[in-house]
Amino acid sequence: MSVLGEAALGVDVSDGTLKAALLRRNGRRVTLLRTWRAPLPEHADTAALAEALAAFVRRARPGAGTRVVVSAPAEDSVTRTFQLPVVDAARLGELVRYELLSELGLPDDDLVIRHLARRGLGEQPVHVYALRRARLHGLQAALGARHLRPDAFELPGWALASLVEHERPAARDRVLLGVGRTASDIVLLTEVGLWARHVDLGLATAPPDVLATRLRDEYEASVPGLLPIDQPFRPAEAVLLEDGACDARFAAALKHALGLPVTRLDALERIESSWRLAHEGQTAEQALSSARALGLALAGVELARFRCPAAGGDPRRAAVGLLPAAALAVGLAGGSLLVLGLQARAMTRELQSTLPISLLGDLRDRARDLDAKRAAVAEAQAACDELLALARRRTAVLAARPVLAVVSEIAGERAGHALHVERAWLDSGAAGQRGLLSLTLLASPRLDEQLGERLLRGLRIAYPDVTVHGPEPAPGSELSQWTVEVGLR
Amino acid sequence: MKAPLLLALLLAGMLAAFLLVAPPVFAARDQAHADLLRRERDLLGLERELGIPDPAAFGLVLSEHARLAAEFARRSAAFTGPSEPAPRLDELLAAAPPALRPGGPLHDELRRLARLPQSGEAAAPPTEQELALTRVVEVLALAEAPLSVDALELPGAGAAQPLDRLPGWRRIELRLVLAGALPDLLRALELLAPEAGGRAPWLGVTEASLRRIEPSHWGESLHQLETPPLRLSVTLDALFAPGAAP
Repeated sequence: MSVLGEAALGVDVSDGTLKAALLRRNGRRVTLLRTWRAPLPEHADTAALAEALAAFVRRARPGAGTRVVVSAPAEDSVTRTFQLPVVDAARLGELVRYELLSELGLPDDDLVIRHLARRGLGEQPVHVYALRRARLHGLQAALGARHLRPDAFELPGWALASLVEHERPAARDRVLLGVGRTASDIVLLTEVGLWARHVDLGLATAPPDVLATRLRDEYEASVPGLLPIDQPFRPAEAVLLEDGACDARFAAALKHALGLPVTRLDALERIESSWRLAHEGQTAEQALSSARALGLALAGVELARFRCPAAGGDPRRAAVGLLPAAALAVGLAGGSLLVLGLQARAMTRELQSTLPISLLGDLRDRARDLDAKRAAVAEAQAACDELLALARRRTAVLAARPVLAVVSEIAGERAGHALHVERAWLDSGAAGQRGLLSLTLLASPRLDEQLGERLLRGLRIAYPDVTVHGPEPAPGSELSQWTVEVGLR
Repeated sequence: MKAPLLLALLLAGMLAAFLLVAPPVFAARDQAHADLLRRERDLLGLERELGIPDPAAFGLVLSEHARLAAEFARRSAAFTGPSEPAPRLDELLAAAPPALRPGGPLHDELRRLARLPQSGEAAAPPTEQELALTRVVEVLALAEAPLSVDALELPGAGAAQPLDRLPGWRRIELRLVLAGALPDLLRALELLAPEAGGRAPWLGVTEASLRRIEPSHWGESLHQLETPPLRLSVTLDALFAPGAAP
């Protein structure tokens, strides 16, 4: 199945009206996209039928990937369900052919025989149908001459059964009646069996009451004619389909004639309807009058339970059907390569714009700028300190007087002993370096005991940073030498 | 058959284009990646070398710089004096201590140091040396004391020297030797201190030395001490702030 989904156009020409339904499948989701309907000329031969069918399909314009499934000519068709042992496929085909030909007594070349085996243990039910080869090939050739090569031909009665099984699956016996304009399909459906009969009875051939009675007769004749003698058939209901389902009078007459509950498929439950269907004014009722076409389209999207094509389609057309997927794959591959290149280019730009070299330069500049700012701060601090040091020179020179005043005060207590300042030296200091006033005193040794302590006491009142050294013998004198150092802040 | 062939050709064409175009693009991407790794290594190296500047550190440095600039401006204001022109040295020397007066032993040398015009030369604006000496002579006059000026010199021919830590500031070093009584010398020394709001240049003592203070009347107040004449040697700077040049 394609990743884009599958589409199939089912075309039914079996009941005197051309009907078509277009389905799209995505996984288990099936959508009815559109239906078409057109009258078929009365008593049309194969060529006229093919002409009308080809024109009808052209009008529907199915896409290159859309499978076209057409109803096989069901006139004189035969269906059976055999219970056969489980054997390989080739052997099963031989068995089916033998059973059917021996029952019908017809030559093999006249018939197209197809079968559908269902799984079973020991014995398996095998549904079989046979068509007139000449009719099928004639239709194929006529369509081929008009450039229409359907992908498959399916038995219309089985298509009807496929639709009912898809929409209303049930494990009970049912009679399906697909009543069209000029023909009808009577399908007997059980849990293990499927029989279909195509009859030339339709809404156009008799009034509803008469038609209902004649269809009942056909049904009652079909049960012993189609089913084996040991095969019971007790239908729980009759399911009315196609145009007959839209005729209330006929439905009522049929219910009365059959004596069974008659059910009409009035809504699609497992097939979604597209917005386009409603947009074009088509109702679900119209869609349901194309039940066979829906069943054929279900076979096209491989969702029909009783899918068993009488003839395959054109292999070239099947190959063409793969073209969209192939083109998509090529496009995806090309797109991937393009995306890879664009991604690499975008990554290159992103890498180049990440942490650009200019950012490193900016960081380096900012680091230098910060260093320069710090240097400027240091210079400003030094300038401030220098200004302060200049201002403190005033403090230094003003310190000489109070220090000498203290010495003068102490000298007043010397009691006549010698005391003089040999040298006073003032250093104003510099930025970050304190000033210093240094006094060298010469004093009588009699003052040795008290002078040092007296100097400290007197000076530390105003100058906490005072040191006094002495007494020491003064060189070339009998006096004692004292050195006083006063720190100036 | 045409469509599959066309698709195959299209796919082959796209592959060929990809093989032609893609390798340089991928190589450029790989190169950009290698460049980024190298830039990251450079960044780590730069971080180890300089440290990544922190905006907060920038802010702190800037605010500290602003604070210091304001402090500098505040302190500089103390060195802003009156704007009237200083008197010329020749005008002051007549009332200066005797050694500096015309005919005094230091007079001619002082004029030479001040680069004053000789007789017959045209008057010139005052030099920094003249301004420095004028300020000292002014201070000596303010002392109002009988001080003897034994020396007033400009070491190094009085060349102005920049102050390393004060951009734009200059100083001229002076050496002054005075003799006199201790109270007079102390007053003269104190007048040599820089004065806020004073006129430029500002004076600042760097060193001072007093020799042999031997009062005959210890115990009197310092202002009334009787001492033999003392010598005060002072080394000082005449400071010129930016814009205070003559």
